[in-house]
Amino acid sequence: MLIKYKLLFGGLFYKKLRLLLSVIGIIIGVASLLIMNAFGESAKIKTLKEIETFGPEIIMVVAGSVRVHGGRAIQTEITTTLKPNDAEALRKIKDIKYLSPVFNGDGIVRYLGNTLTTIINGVNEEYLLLRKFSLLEGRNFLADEILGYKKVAILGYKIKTELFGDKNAIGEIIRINKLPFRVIGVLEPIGIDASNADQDDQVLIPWTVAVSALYNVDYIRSIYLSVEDISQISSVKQQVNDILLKRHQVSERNKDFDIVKAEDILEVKTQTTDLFSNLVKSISILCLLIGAIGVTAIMTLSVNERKKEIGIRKSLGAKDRELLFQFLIESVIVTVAGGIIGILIGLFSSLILLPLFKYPLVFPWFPILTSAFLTVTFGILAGIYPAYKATKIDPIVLLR
Amino acid sequence: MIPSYYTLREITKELISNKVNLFFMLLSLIISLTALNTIYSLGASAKKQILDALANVQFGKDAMLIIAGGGRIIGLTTTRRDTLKLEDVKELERLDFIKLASPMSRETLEVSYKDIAEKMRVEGVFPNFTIANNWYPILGRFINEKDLKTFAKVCIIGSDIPKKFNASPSELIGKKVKIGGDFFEIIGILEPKASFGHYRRDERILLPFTTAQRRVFNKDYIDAVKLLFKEGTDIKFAERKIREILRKRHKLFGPEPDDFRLITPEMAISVFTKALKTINLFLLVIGLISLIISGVIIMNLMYSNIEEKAPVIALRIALGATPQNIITHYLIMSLIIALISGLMGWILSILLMQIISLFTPLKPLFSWITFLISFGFATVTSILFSLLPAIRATQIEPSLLLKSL
Repeated sequence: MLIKYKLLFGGLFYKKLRLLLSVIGIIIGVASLLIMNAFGESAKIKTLKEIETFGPEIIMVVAGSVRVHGGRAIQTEITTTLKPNDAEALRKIKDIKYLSPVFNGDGIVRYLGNTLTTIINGVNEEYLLLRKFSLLEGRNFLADEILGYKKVAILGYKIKTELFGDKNAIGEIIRINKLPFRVIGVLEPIGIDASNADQDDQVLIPWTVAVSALYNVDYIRSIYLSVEDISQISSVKQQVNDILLKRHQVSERNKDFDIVKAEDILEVKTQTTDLFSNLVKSISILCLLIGAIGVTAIMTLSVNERKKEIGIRKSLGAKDRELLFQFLIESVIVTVAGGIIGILIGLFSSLILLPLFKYPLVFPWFPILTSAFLTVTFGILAGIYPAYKATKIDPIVLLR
Repeated sequence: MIPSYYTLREITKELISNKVNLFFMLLSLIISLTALNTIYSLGASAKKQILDALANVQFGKDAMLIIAGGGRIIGLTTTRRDTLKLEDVKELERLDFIKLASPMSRETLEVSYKDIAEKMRVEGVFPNFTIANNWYPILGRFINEKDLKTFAKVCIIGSDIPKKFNASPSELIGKKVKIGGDFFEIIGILEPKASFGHYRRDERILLPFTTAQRRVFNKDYIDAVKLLFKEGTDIKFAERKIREILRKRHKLFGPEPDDFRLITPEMAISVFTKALKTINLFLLVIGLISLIISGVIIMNLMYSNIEEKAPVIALRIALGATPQNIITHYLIMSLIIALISGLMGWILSILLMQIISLFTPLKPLFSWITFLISFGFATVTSILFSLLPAIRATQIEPSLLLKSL
């Protein structure tokens, strides 16, 4: 028994350089497989994170018609028929948790000498809760400020840093399109959300002020609402549709508004990410495949070189099964050794590379398991041909 | 240094003598080269398709689109969008680098024919729409100057519309469709165009510009202008000039944002190829890594090859071969491997592209660049990784020969 293992390891370490090089091939293969898989996984999580501020419980009612294209809702025309009263009318739907009318427009924001152009979002006090935006400092709008046309503003993180730098912004007066607004809050950095808008590059103000003092219109661009219970989302969507059709006195076909569920927007986006992730994962098997070819090549070579040894064992009564087993084990050991080192290297590299490329850092459990499984599989596959070849060796070679 | 016929024959003999080694060296290199080539050509083909589609609507180069309403490239306008007027276009036309300006206005309206009604994109255009977009009627005629003058109630329909109306294209000519509240005679059908972006291109109805503005939309502003530049125009300069004129005419000063968007072909290309770029980059990295692995394999097999041939090399050294001779010998050997696998990888990737093109819309793209990539990478990998074993070969002691005596 012991001799058997001695033989096995003797075979393995007979040529050290050769062993090292085949292990290196496997190491590179497994490490890159793991890194690529980690990127694939991470890309999925990145999308999920974007979804978070645009959760599945959110419904968007948009004036005009909307097409979802490439993971964004694109408003293809603007109508002026969606009024603030429509938003109030929707409040009577009982499953609605939060609701906010939204009017957005461009604005020039000034503070002392600093001037910049950004998106101004007119919303109400529920918008922050609805979108799950949290405040870095300051406070949310008060219901009274919305109703009382108070000129107050919550700044996106980027706007705050560009206007104020490190200085305190709360309580300061900024000018939006020449009108003075008091800063009451600063949003935490959010990044680009599922609608592809940079949520750090915006200023939130009460919608009442936006439609009156700032833009002087009598309509809003959209209504955001979220439901208490996700299972109710279809029924709420239906109710919203019915109420608005009735209020606007239009038929289903001539609708002057569109209702978009977060899901509709995200569907395309997750599809693209899935495609990316799957493509990268499956192509990265290529690396392991080539590594395995290297092992097969070396094993075949050593079978050829060890013809004598194999011949002796055969003539001494070794069974084909034993020989098969010996060479399979040998290739599995080589690949697994490379696999373990490769997984370690891949793990460290992905932990370093992921943040470097601004992908969310995840501990790649699943990729590790996949790589481990694939390593063993390829190890066995790599050993099959040389092992088979070993069993076919005729002991007669000894006589030559 | 050109190797003599004799050395070449010796090298080939040596290669063929160990078929298993040769096979695996070629196999690993061929697989990774095929993958690399295929990934590259897939990306190039996808990109070319987008470029072709853009060029096909005269948006390849020397063109620009002005869209009313400011904001980001794609998405909602955040400013007024009723400020772009025909007079603005008149002024732009006076710029010497502008070859053609084709303004248009659009709305989404209900269009009905017999008992079928649907909301569709309706555009008011000028006769020069055909040149500006390289888009001509396949049947019937296009809008002419007379239609514009008489506010004629005629329309041209996109090639997908007959299907929607359950009618054959030829029978629709001369028939009337209801757009908004009025009836319009169909005088032509547009040829089909490849579709990308958010509109199905073939699902639109064109009206004479004057008819559209006065009879249907009832507005005095336009929604977009397609500009064609004279060849060799500096787009950056043109963009600056046009922006200057429009801002002045629209009385926008200082930090006030534009109330229009200037879209250059470059911007359109980068929007459409952005997703493609990342994915292609990742795949190319994988291809390169697999190439490195095959390099390691080649190195490994080269070592064992040299080990096997050690007595021969020792003999050569003993007979006065210089290290340079030995190194050249093995580098030529690796070059032969590189050439064979480069060729095979190239051919295989072309075949693979043909197969892929059967069940994806991507067309196979023949380019000599893939040929160069294939041979270039094959040579670099193969030679780079054979260098160490070749140097090792020079260090073989001639005394080795004495042992075997």
